[in-house]
Amino acid sequence: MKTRTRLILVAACLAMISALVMPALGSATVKIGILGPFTGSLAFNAGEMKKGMELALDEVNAKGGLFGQQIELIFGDTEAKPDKGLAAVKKLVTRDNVLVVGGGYASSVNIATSEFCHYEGCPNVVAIAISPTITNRGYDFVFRTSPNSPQFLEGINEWLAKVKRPKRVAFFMENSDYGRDGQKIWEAQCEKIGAQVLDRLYFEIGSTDFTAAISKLKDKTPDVVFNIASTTEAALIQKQAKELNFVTQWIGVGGQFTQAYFEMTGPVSEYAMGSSLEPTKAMKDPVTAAFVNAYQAKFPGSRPGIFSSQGYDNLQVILDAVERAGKPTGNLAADRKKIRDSLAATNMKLSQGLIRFDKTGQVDTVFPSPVQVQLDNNCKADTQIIYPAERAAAEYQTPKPWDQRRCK
Amino acid sequence: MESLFLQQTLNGLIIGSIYSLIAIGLTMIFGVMKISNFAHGDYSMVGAYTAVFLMAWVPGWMGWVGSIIAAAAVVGILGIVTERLIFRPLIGRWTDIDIIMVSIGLFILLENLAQLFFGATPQMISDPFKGATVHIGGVSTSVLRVFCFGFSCIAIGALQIFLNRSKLGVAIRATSQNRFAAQLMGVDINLIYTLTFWVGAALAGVAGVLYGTTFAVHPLMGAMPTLKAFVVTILGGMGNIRGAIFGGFILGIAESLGGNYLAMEYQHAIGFFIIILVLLLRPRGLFGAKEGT
Amino acid sequence: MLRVEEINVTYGKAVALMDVSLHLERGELVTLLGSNGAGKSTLLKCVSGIKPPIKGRTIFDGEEIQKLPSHKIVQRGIIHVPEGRAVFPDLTVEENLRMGAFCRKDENAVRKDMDFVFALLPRLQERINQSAGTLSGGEAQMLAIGRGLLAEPKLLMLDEPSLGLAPVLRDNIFAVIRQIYQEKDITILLVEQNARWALQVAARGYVLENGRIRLEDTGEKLAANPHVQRAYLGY
Repeated sequence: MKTRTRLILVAACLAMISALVMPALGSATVKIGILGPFTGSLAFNAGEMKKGMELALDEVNAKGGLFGQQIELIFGDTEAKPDKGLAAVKKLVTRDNVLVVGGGYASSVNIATSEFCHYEGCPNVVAIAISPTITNRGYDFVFRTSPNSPQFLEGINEWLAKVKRPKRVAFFMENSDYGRDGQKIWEAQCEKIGAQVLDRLYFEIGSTDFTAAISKLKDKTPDVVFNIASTTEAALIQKQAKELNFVTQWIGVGGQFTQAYFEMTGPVSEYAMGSSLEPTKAMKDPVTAAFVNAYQAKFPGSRPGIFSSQGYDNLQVILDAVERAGKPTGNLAADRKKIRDSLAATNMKLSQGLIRFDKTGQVDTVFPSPVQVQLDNNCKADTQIIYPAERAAAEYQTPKPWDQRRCK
Repeated sequence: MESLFLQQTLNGLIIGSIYSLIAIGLTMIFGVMKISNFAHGDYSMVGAYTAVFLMAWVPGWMGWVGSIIAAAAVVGILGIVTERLIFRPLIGRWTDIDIIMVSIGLFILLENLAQLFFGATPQMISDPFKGATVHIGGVSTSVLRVFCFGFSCIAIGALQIFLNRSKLGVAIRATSQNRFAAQLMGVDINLIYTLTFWVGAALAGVAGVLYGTTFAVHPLMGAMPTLKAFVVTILGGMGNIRGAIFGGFILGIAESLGGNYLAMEYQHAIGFFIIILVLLLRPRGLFGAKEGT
Repeated sequence: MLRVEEINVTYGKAVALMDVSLHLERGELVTLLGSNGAGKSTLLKCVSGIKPPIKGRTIFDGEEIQKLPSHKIVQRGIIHVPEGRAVFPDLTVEENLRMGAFCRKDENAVRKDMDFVFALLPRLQERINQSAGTLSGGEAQMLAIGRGLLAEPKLLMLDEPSLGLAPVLRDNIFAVIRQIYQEKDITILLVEQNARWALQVAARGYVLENGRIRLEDTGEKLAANPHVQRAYLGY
């Protein structure tokens, strides 16, 4: 009985593991490694990124693929943890022998994984992470298709200095590189515009109850609370601010404004701000409009959010570079080097705008705009660009006390 | 200043009541079977998804109340199934550490199954009180949270009455204190195992509906309750039900007051700090003096 | 009333009992002697269904019971008062006694037995609402015996009732056991380290050594046996 139970359990475990670790298929394919937190608390955002990549893959395949070979995406799950990310990238680079590593989500993870890629001589194109560290260490195999935090916050900082001019501010940050790097930039901006920082609070990823922190913030009566958080935490913070009757101008980076966020918060998120690269906001641009339409055709009922768009652009950049580098010779180190060089020469128009890399491998042509969550006549919440005037679709609205709001 | 203190105490009491509700089942199961079940919080996750599904069919009040009942039923059955198929065959045959590993395996399995079937996107259970809030003298909270607090207290009280007044309830406590002697009294030990898992899991399932309505529902939501329930269980004394009740409230208040007056980023560490103190100074837990053999 | 026929009990690969047979007739008081580790407690656990035999039979009132779970055996009236008092420390004295009556439905009969126990062991009544963990060693042993009585035993198996008690308390326990035997229609299997007293009070006795029955005889004859005298009576 004992041995049998043990055997059954061992067999069950083996079955599970083998289902999770799919064996890499034949070798006559172009192998691209894709990192991302496909399980764990950020898995739904990684899912959006993956959908964007699937669209990109479809489009390239429809045009005949690469060199007549099949493109194989091998996914490595980082679980949003640096140690798991390193294990995943090691497998992709040294065992699966991918030509290039793309994807990636969360700054803390990508700081570690990009360093590994650089020293292995494998090009790494980071899709979603804003910490400046990733590209400012002089690693010539590391590129990033998303703006870094200074670029991301440039628009908001200008708006803070020219429009809002807050006197009393507080920080409520995710305790991670994502949160801490954003805080550094805003701290500097606050000093420049003479805003007093009342408090600096942090929370752990995966927390659910923020009432203690929000009660403390409320007691300090800040005009603006900088709040860098991912979707779930950001949504819960908005809801709990209402429960605690706290009114302030919440400002985040913008990554939280996903479909799931609006489903969770409903009208409660009204007035919250962030930066956005949301493709639906730039429909005047024909390339972006084409992306939005293609995405909605492939995934009916889905809203093409920032992560879908960043995933799409990331894989497009990679496949374009692989194509320009020429058919792989089979000498992995040489192939990777060629791809690195063709990545450096990237120049293409995609869903977020023009993609070109500066000397550090950082995209320097994509600029997000400050957005605010506003409600339409049916109390449906969505982000609107509010600054600068030439791009703005709506006027900034000052947050009203909860009992005076139109939508409950 | 004063109202901030009151506000933080209230925040702590409310979240503490949910901690207690989840920890009671964990501590009961530990007491009776000497199993540390790391999958306990996932009973809450399954309870919350039960509500998500039921409320897609029956929205509003009816659906919500029905969800609480359905969660108790569905998760209660899940508890019985895990006890029968996984834990009972191992008790007395495998070491405690092996069984802990099995429970961690179950925890990973349930999380991954949930992600496979329900997806990773967080879901909401719509608040039957429609987000209504109450504000009294500078202290604010939502009606939902007040309800969660009241409901938890009533459920805990009802469980206490069952454990102290009913024959089976006393038998559960007796088994928890001395399994061998309880068998010699004619207690059907397997029935007690099943009953304990059923009650413990059902409570966690119900707590999951409350937790999921107050916060959000996603495949990983069970991890935090598991963690908190273990802190509470160690704080109150492993297997001590009274300890779990008070431990939950103590932890809730310690976290909110500690977060406010010490450091917010260490809010979750406060529980572990308390555990270290308890283990150093009072290894049987705050309320564990008389229990155990 | 009880026949144990050639049972074997093992713990893993270690053999605890080997071809052990014994029998008790209705109304008898039989003692079981043996040194530590001889297998006395194992034999009681085997009869009460806690540790089923891998071979052999136990027959109670003409029916095989060795395959029954312990709670079914308790329901038939075989009550095992374990060694080391094993009371429920966080239950009150009253709750402990009520646990003894766990399998019984007739509330009136239980109350009558409760009165009998309190008359026999008045200290328990004084401490009725105290938790059992606060009792002294002697009181806890009385509680364990009283709890056994509340189960309405036909066969009462007492495992080392005087273990670890001071002489005065020990005599007190012996008196109580004697009184129970006289006043109740009951059969007793007594495991007792105080062999002299046990052989005095018992009609018959068995000597268990290394998992086997070595001797079986009347109490008097066993007390006169040179081996028993040397090994258990300290001559």
